Amino acid sequence: MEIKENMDGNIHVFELSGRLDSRTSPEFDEKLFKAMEQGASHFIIDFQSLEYISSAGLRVLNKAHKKLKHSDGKIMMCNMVDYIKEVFEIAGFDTFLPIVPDRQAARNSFN
Amino acid sequence: MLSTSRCQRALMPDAHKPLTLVLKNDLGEIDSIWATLERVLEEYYLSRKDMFQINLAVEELFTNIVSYAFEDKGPHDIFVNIYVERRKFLVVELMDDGIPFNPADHQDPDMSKPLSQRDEGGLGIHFCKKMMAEFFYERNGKQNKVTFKKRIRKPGFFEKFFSCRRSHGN
Repeated sequence: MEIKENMDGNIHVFELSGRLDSRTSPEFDEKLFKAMEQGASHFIIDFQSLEYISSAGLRVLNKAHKKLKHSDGKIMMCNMVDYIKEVFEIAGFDTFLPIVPDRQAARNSFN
Repeated sequence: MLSTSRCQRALMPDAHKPLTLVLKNDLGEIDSIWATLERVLEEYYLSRKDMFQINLAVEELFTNIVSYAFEDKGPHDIFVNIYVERRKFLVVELMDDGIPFNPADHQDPDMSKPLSQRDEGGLGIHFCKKMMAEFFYERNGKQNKVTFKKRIRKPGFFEKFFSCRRSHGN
């Protein structure tokens, strides 16, 4: 699991690669919540290089979504391979956590 | 990190001689589960999606066992059997000696509720039910046994399976 963070204007971008599972998701949790504590509320999660996600990874995103509801924040997810997107659909997360095709679409949704 | 999983057979096995992994109740074992599954399943032309879903189901069930099955927090062995059934299904069984728990009876998350009001648990089991052709539980003495079956649709899978068996003299 590798997590890259960078800023795109006022949007905090996470680029995930490798496997987000029950062993590695605490690291993502820690970084995402640290960014929120430092004031970030607009997020793009880029799944371009992510090969795998399990419910542990989805729980981190759900937890962040709950926290951001109180601060007008938003998480946009993009560049998802079809079988990972299906996991979000089966979990019923896709109606609350928007999934868009690419970074441009994710960026535009904040305008 | 513990690395006690043992691969007893390299080839895709059948119901009579399943491939068996012996794992410790430690989340660190997830890496070795994945490495073994990837190596075994890749030989048989499974699609990325099938491999992903099988891997996901194993991780979800294994994580549940490690997190909730054992009250004593001591070391326990968890057994994972993998085999092919009737040329149709890839079958995975997970066995543990923890407290009785039937995941097949576990209530699915309430999809009508907003995400923020849903219970956080049960998602992994929900995935298993949705992604697998069959998913069931048995209690045998002091052992929990969960079985799931994935229907294999990829053309070439069984041809490869049987030509391999022939070429290895099975």
